[in-house]
Amino acid sequence: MMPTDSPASGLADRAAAEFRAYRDGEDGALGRLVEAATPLLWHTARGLGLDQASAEDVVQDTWLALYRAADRIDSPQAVLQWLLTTTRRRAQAVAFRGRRVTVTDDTGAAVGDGPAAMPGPEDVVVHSEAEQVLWRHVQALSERCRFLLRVVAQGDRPDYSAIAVALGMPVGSIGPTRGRCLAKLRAALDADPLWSGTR
Amino acid sequence: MSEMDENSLAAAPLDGEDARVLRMLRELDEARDPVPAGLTERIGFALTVAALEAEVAELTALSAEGAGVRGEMEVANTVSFSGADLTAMITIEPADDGSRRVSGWASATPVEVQLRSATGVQDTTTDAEGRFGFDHVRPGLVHLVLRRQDMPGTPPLITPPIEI
Repeated sequence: MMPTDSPASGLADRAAAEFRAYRDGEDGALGRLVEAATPLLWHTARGLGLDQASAEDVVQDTWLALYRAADRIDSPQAVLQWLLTTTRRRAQAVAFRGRRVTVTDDTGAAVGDGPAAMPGPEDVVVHSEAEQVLWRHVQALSERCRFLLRVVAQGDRPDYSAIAVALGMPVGSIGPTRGRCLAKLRAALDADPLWSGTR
Repeated sequence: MSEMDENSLAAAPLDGEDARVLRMLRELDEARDPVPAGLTERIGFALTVAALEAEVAELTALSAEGAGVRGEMEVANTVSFSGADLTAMITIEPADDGSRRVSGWASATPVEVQLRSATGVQDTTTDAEGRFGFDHVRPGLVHLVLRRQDMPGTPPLITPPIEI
C-alpha cells in the first residue's frame, strides 16, 4: 500500500466545528461554514443537472433551511450530511419539475438532462496529459458514477463514505473503501499505458 | 477486467493513487464549473436578512464615482435607499489614511444605524436632524442596518452590499 496524504480531519469535521461554534454564538462561524461547504453543495446541484441559476437558488435555499433548522439538528457532526442531503433532495425536485420529457439511451440512463450533467470533453480546459487521460475515462463511466465521483472529489478523504451515503450511494459497509465507481475508474486507468506514463 | 477483480478493487481501502485521482477530478471540476463569484457573499447576505428579520432596502439612486454597488456598472459616492417606513442616503469620501468616511442622513430620527463589514460592526444613532456618520471605514463591501427607535417592532432595514 502506498503511503497516503490523508488530512487529519475532513470537511465534515471542520463543518461540525464551525456549526458548534455558530450555535455557541460565535461571530463569523456561520460565514466560515458557508465558505467551507458551499463548493461541495454547488457541485452536487450542478452534477444533478441544474443550470447555474437553479443551482444557486438551491444552494442558497439549503443554507436558509439550515438557519431555520439549526436548533433541531441533533448532532453537529452530521451537519455536512444534512446540508448535502438537503441540497440533493431539493436539486432532484427542481430537476424533476424541469424535465417533463426524459429521453433515455439503451441502458436506461437519462440522456440530455441538463447542461451540467454530461459535459463533453470539449467543454474542459485540459492542462496536462494526465488530465486528458483521466477525463476520457471519467466520460466512459455511467452518469451515476460521474456524479458520485464529482461530489466525493469535493470533500476530503475522510468524508468519502459519509458523502456517498448522503448521496444515497453507499460505497461499502466498513471503512473508506473505494466503492464500485472509483474501482471502475481505477481499473480503466491502470489498464491504460498513457495513464501509467503520467505517474 | 473480471467481475471478481472489480469486486476486490471496490472493497479495498483508498490508496495514494485514489487520492491523486480525486484531487485531479476536483481541480478539473473547479476549472470547468467554478462556484460563481460572489455566491458565498450572497448567501451570507440572505442569512443576515433572515437572522435580523430585516426588510431589504431598495437602492434608489447612485451618482458620481469612487464607489459602487456590486454588480452594477455605475459607480457612485452617493447612494440612496428606501424601505416601507424609512428613506436614507449616504455619501462616501476617501480619507487621507486610505480609509473612508461615510456620512448619511435618514428621513426619521432617532434611528440606530449599524455599519456591517467583513471586519466587524460599527454602531451610531442619528442626531436631531437625522444625520449620522462613520469614520475610518476600511474599503470593501458593507451593509447598513437601520432601526427606527420611534417605531419599535418594525423590521430593521438592511441595504444590499455596497462597495465603499
